Amino acid sequence: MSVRSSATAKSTPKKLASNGTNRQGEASLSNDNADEVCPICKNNRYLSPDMKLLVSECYHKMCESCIDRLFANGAGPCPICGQVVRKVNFAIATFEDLLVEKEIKIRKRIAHHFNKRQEDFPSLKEYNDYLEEVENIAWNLINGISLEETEAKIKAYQQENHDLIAANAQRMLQEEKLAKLVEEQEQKEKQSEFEKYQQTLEEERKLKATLKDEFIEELATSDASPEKILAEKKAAAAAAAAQRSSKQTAEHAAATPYGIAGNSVGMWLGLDREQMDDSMKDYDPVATEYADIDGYTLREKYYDPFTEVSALSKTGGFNIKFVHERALQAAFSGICDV
Amino acid sequence: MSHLTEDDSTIERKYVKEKKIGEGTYAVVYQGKEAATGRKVAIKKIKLGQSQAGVNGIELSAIREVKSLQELQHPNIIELIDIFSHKTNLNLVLEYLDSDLEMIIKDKNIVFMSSDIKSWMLMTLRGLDHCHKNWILHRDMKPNNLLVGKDGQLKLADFGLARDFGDPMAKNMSTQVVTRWYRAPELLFGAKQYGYAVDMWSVGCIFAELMLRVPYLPGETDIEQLDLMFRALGTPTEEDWPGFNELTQMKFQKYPKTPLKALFTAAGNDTLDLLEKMLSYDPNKRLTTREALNHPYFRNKPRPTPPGKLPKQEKSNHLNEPVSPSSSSASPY
Repeated sequence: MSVRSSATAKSTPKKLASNGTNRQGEASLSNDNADEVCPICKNNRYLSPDMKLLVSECYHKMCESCIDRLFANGAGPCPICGQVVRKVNFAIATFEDLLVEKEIKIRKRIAHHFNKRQEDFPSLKEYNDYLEEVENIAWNLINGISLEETEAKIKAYQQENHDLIAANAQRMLQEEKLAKLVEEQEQKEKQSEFEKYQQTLEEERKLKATLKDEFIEELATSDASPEKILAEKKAAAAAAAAQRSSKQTAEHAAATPYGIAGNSVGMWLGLDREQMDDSMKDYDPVATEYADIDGYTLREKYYDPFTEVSALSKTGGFNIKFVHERALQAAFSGICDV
Repeated sequence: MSHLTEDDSTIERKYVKEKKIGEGTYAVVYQGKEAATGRKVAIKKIKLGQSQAGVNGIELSAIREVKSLQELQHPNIIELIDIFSHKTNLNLVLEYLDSDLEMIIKDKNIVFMSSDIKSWMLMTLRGLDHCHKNWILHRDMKPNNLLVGKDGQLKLADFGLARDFGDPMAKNMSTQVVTRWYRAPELLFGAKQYGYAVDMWSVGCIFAELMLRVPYLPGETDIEQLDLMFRALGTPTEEDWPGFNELTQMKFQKYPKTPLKALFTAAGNDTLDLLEKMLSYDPNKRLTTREALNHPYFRNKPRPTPPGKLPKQEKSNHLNEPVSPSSSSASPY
């Protein structure tokens, strides 16, 4: 995975820079005071503090009352750029800079279609080429360079990779689900650990209190010297503490080996595939307590005038070897030594 | 089994029927317990003289079940504890398990880890390996017939369609076996003699279902079943399956082979290799249980989950030993 993130990083930063003075249409998009004045009715925030500025599909701001007025009869041209827009497609801008807003929206859309992963490519170079291509498409869309051509490219890609896109989307969904599960599990573990800690604190406090009571009690009733009693009590308390701590470490060790946290998550995601587990070397997959019947060697061919296997039966998976092996096993079962 | 020495009424008194948990065309299943030990059991009461075959004696599938289970004792095969007759009924006392793999697959609250799937596959194959080593075909492998106990152990159950194989005299084995979704292509094409491979196909379908969480090839009719199969795995050619052209006069649409990877995106290469070999069109090339168990998949990481740690259903309302007619679309003849 680390390879992948570095590959992504390599191709993105050079174009993510948002200070692009050469961007087309910048003048109309980023205006410092656009927040304050509706470009259509020139109403400003000072006079009507309730004014809400929404952003159109073509990334132009206007106030709600203007939108209501302009698009009361359905779709119409944007008064700034002339693109046909609808009322429902106006949205509240998340970012003050509309360039950022636009870029994020486009990148989201691109990521939705171009969701291939490094595993889908035979080599890192091809994966990087793919990332470069995706980046070019995003760049073109953001800056309005050869829009039609780019859209056609996206469409062609979408058609070509329909199955893989769906599969990867499915996979992403699954990974999210698992990540959530792992997080929940960790949360639970933390919670239970915290409770355990609280419990031990409480126990210790109680123990100290009883020891103190006992000490006072003994001082009052016993004839022994106070120093001697004190030394005895201290030794007992130290022994009890040592026992507790050893019990805790044992509990901790016993709690960790299974559960979904840790290694198995990576495996579930298929990141750590095909790795032979060393501890599985001596593992017996068949694990049967029955000994195989042996002592014979099954030959390729026997003289057998009784069994006929038609070509059709052969195609159906009936093998004359079944007959011979079964007969041999019947003959050899119980005869040969164990 | 104690029925050889004890008489029927003595055995009958050893068990207490508690409640009816299922009824099918030829049997009623009760939950009960062994009076002495309190061990939970399932008692399958076979009605006599109900069906056509039963007129002259005992229902055929009951005979199949008793015959097979008496021979098989294995941790991954349901145990036949006792048999007794009562009036005209035959009663099979079976091990009680409260869940099955179908219920677990359908329970969307449960998330499967790949190690869980490996564990279930391992237990299924071990049970089936024991059947095949004893020359018995199960012929109704499906998640519904893989029962799961409280301890997580998976056991093959419902041997109502089981029979022996490798008998040269059996020249007309039934093709109407195995629930359609799990039925091997050679059965759909009407092969009269077949072998272990029919069960292995079903295991492949179960393997796929464990990963997908929905049945892999849910055909409504036999023809649709073939069509689905060809769509998923490509239409077989004479090269994939020597003799294929002689099997049938039917002409099928030619679907190209798509790699399994396209559908099973999260699966590793070892997993897909095993699945592909289980779902080989040519039954002679399909893996045997031994070959499957020795596949690297079972030795590679992650290691199979220990049965006790497998995910379970929160609440169980299972009816042991499904006997409803719908549980097997195939007739038992």
